[in-house]
Amino acid sequence: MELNKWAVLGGAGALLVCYNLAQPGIMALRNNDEKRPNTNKREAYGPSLDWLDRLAKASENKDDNRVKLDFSVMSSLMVAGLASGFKSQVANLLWMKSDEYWHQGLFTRQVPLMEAVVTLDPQFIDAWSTAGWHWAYNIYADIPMNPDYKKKGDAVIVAAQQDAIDTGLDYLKRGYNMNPDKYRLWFEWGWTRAEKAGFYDEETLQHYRTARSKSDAREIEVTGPDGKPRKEQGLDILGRTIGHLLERIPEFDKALDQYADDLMKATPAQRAALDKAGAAWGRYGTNYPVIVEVWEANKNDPQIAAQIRRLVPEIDDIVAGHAMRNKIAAQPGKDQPVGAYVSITARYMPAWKIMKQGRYEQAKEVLVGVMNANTKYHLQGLDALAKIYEIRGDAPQAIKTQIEDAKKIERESTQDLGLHFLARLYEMAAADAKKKGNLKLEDAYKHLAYETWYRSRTRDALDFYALRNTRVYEAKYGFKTPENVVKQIKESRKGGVPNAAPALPPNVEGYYR
Amino acid sequence: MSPSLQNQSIISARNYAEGVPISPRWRAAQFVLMGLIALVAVWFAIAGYRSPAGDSGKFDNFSPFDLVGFGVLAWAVWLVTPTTWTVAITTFHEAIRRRWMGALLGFAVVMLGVSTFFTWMQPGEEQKFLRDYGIGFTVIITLIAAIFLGVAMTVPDIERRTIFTILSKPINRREYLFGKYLGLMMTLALNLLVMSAIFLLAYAYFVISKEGFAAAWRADGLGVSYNGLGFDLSNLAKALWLHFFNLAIMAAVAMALSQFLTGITAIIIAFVVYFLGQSASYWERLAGGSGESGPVLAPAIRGVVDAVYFVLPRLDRFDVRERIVNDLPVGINYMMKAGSMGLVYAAVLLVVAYFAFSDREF
Repeated sequence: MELNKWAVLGGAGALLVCYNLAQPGIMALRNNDEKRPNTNKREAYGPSLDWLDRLAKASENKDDNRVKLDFSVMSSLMVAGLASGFKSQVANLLWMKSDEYWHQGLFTRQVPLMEAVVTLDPQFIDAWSTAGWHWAYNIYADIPMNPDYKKKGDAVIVAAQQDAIDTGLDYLKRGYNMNPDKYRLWFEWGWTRAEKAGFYDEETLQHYRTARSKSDAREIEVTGPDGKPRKEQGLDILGRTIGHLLERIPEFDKALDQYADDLMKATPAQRAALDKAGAAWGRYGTNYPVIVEVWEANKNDPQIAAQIRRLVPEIDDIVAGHAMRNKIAAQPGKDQPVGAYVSITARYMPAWKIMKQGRYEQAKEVLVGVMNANTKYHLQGLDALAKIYEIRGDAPQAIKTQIEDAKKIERESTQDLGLHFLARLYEMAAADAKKKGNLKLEDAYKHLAYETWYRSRTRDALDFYALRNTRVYEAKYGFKTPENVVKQIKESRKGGVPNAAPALPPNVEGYYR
Repeated sequence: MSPSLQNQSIISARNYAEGVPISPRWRAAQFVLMGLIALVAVWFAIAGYRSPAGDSGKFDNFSPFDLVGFGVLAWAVWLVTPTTWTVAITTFHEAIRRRWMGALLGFAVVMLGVSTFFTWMQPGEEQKFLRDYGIGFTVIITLIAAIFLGVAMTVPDIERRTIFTILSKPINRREYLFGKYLGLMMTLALNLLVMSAIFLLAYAYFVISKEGFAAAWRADGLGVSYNGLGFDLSNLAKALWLHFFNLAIMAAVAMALSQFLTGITAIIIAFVVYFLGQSASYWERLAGGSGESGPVLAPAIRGVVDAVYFVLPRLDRFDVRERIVNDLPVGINYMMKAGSMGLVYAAVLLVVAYFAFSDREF
């Protein structure tokens, strides 16, 4: 009996050994980092334990400002959550506490809580998103107000703000790695990288494309006829965002392809018609459809029709182009892409085409002309448009106002993309000068590019792309703030809308050093 | 204890070691069941270890040790004698008649039934909240039941001296102990079944109310349920079924501890074991230091951690929420592997419990 009892115990020991020997097979499935074919989903059965490494390293890198899960964050509640298997429930409780701190304005107290929440519940997308946003936006904005940072000076503030953005991006990146099949964090990473870190580049675009490829990218919640909310496929906002980013880089060729080929699915003939509509806008301004309207009303009157044809020789092209624009815009979700396509074609493509030929000085003159609504380069058909208004029966004063408005609209609407384009143009001219070995000219163009980026960042405090570019120039070439430009733009604000465009094409030689 | 000091009237381990004879019909039924288990084991060894369709299958693996669990199950079937079965049924009836058990189950049923009302706590991620809440609540309630009932299996019989009456019958200690365990598992299975049914109904109600009946079942990648309600319910049911092995281990832990410790101490230690078991992966990671940071602990401490890890129940193996939240199917292969090991560990504990109980003098 005694022997049997001990034999049974020995059997238990053998079973325990078997139990341990079988664990690697189970762990292979739990830790399986392989992506499920055709998806970004990890095949793993178990949670990622990467946070343990960060926990282990938390005390090592004291100088690293990035938030890490450290022992001070391991509150009793969190330990209980980790150990009990009720991680999500504990994460919810901590999330509510974090929200409470938010409403009390205690931003920094939220930081460890948010890290705890995403650690406990890595599939809590809202938590990743909020943590990323909190760092990149709230803490970023809070840093210059902080008395400690104020004492340390601008350089420290800039570095701390950059670190806040990087930390926010780090959260979003970790978040999309944990939730690769949801569009949201891919998109938010791209958006924060572009609109806060100021990176308008292929990497950002690639994240937008990845986000767009997710099945939930276009999901919107609507209320059905039964009063219940349901999800439907909404607008292709990410497709538009990609086009918008390409515009702002600017990469106008690619932006037009994005709008026409990708979003509108336009045929070459349709694109050609839209190009004509764009040309009409460029010549007669945003109100060019009035020409079509007057033509349609009077085309059966041979005398007036002949008069219109004399004033606007390309009337047939404009009618066809405008009809195509209306036809495409009437299709669901295509009104914005078609509008963007026509406006880019009207305003920037003339200078863009010249720039592509390497005639930078000429391109610069055209672009600055467009930004100032100089009728030598843009809106050359305004006189003819005034006559069309006359045919329509508009009063002289009304005609004058409309013509002035047409110029004003172009001046104001071309500032944003125009300045980006101008700076890009100077950068390409600098690269060209470098290739030709003209270092003096290269330096002058770089200075002009820097000044133009500075115009853009002064005009729009949220233009982080321009902000980053100016900082790159300052760090690389030691350029100093162009005070005269800043002053000029500040002065222009007194008139309402700021005017940051150079009044005349700058003389490159004036920038020789 | 010296034999001379023993009170001869006290029931000892030697009484009724033989038990009642077992009918050939009973044995035949056992053979049939064991044959079925063997067939499943063979199927698992040949094809069942492969991952679900759609997975890359890169880490599919089969180890002879996976079959030990099937052996344990077959052994358990063999141990179920008519006497064991009678003890199990009696234990089951006793357990479900306990008032606190009824109250606990009633509370759980109500809380799971109204779970859809709490989804406001995680706006935008209501479905995820519901899954977490449902599984979490079921886990905690059944865990409490497993530990409290497990500790209360043999101790009251000893304290109330009813053990004398029981063991004076033609029943051996193995049958008594295993019957108690079996009865306990039947009770926990009933609890889990009722709570799972309520939770899955609440979940189905939530999805259908969001998407409508027809759309809810479609795997259209839209709405609340991307892969269809059928997929979601199946995955959740698998997760809950895996939790049953968790309960099997915890019930065995509680029973084994109650052989050595007083009730309250056994309960506390059982909860500690549960927490440690849930953290098994962390222990393993700390011991191995296989992450980006390399070795984390000093060698001596790692030795201790390794030793703890060796005897620790790996309860986190039954947690498959990673697959559920990512809308990936929980594979039968994984369930069998994890379940098999759950049975092995429960067997180890029952043997330890038997080791203590078999010679115990009352």
